[in-house]
Amino acid sequence: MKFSEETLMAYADGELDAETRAAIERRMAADPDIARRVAQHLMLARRIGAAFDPVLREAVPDRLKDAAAGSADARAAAAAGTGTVVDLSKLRAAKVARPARTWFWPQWSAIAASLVVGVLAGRMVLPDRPPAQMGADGDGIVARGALERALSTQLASTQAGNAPIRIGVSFLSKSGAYCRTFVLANGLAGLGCRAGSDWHLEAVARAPTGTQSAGAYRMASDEMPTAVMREVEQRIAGSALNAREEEAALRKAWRR
Amino acid sequence: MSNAIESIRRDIAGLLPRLRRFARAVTRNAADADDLVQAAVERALLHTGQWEPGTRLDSWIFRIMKNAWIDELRKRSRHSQLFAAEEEGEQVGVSHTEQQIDAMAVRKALAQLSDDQRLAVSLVLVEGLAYKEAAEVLEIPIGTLTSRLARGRETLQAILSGGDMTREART
Repeated sequence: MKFSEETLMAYADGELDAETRAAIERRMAADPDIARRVAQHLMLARRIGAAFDPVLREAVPDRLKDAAAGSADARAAAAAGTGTVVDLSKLRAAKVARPARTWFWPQWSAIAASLVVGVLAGRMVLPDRPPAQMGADGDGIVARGALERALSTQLASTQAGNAPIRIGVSFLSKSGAYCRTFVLANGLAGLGCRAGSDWHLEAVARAPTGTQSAGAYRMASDEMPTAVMREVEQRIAGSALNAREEEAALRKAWRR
Repeated sequence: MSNAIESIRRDIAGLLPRLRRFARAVTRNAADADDLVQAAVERALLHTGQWEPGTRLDSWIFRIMKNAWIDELRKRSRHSQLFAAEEEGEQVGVSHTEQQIDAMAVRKALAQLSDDQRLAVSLVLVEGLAYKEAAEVLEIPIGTLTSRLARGRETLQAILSGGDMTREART
């Protein structure tokens, strides 16, 4: 089956029925060119959205608030006791911002699984000094402390929205090891793969600037730097674990 | 004043950040954008009876904004006033994050689309409306919406792919 550019675009926008979607996903798995084109649509969509999102955080000029309040009477009424109501509705507006296009890992991983991209080794940005959650062993950097605990015991499906370490996606690598992505509260993100009883950190990079602020967590997929995504793309075998598979893997202590 | 109108006012006040975002994408400069939001909000409040409760309030106001903006463009072309896109003058001298630099490139690229394509891209990619909702806002068939969207995206991709390469190289 041939897919037009418009169909691939509609796939990226989440506009297709389940059947066509599945057909495209099968093609993506078989044809890296299709996967690449879909990824291109997704990335462009994200770039355009991201370019205008900062407007949401700007202070709304008074003249516009006044316009919404209407007459002077209504303004007075609004000022006299409904101050919090406006704040609440603002929050609501922020929450419904771009409702249709939140990209979750499974969709990305379908693409990641089939993307054939040239990954240059050593491209990821390592911090000057490994943070406390990481330590060096004979052949690389391993997770320690809270990060080690999170990778071993935290489920993406049940973790708290404000967990200090957020687990992104878990998957089986081509070499048969479980791997998991994570984002730390300080903005570092990375990929850890199970090696014996350790988690080897295969990639660590700083999440895109400007999105990190205390308490303001976005979707893990949003925060995942390209360098980490590339490592995921290179390693993943099949698709990401779903919640049930993730839990089963945890129960087996991430051993096969 | 009835509670219904009071509640619409509150909802509109809550939508202001999104209305401003949409206007910024459509009009290409911040001053026009807020003028457009103000005009649309005033018009909406004069005609609250035309909004059907149960339908999306944001879509209804986007439609008002679309009509107001098209009127404005006609007026401007009649008076043959040419308004060039503001070239990000407000940013000069400030240090930028990579994200801000990218946002500037995106806004410039978007400014180069036709008004029809920019409206489609703004509703779907900036505001996240479904194709059906966006087509309703623009009062066009869904096929027209998807082709405007596809052409707009193709142009954006072409303009922005140069920047993409630079980004890759810097990673």
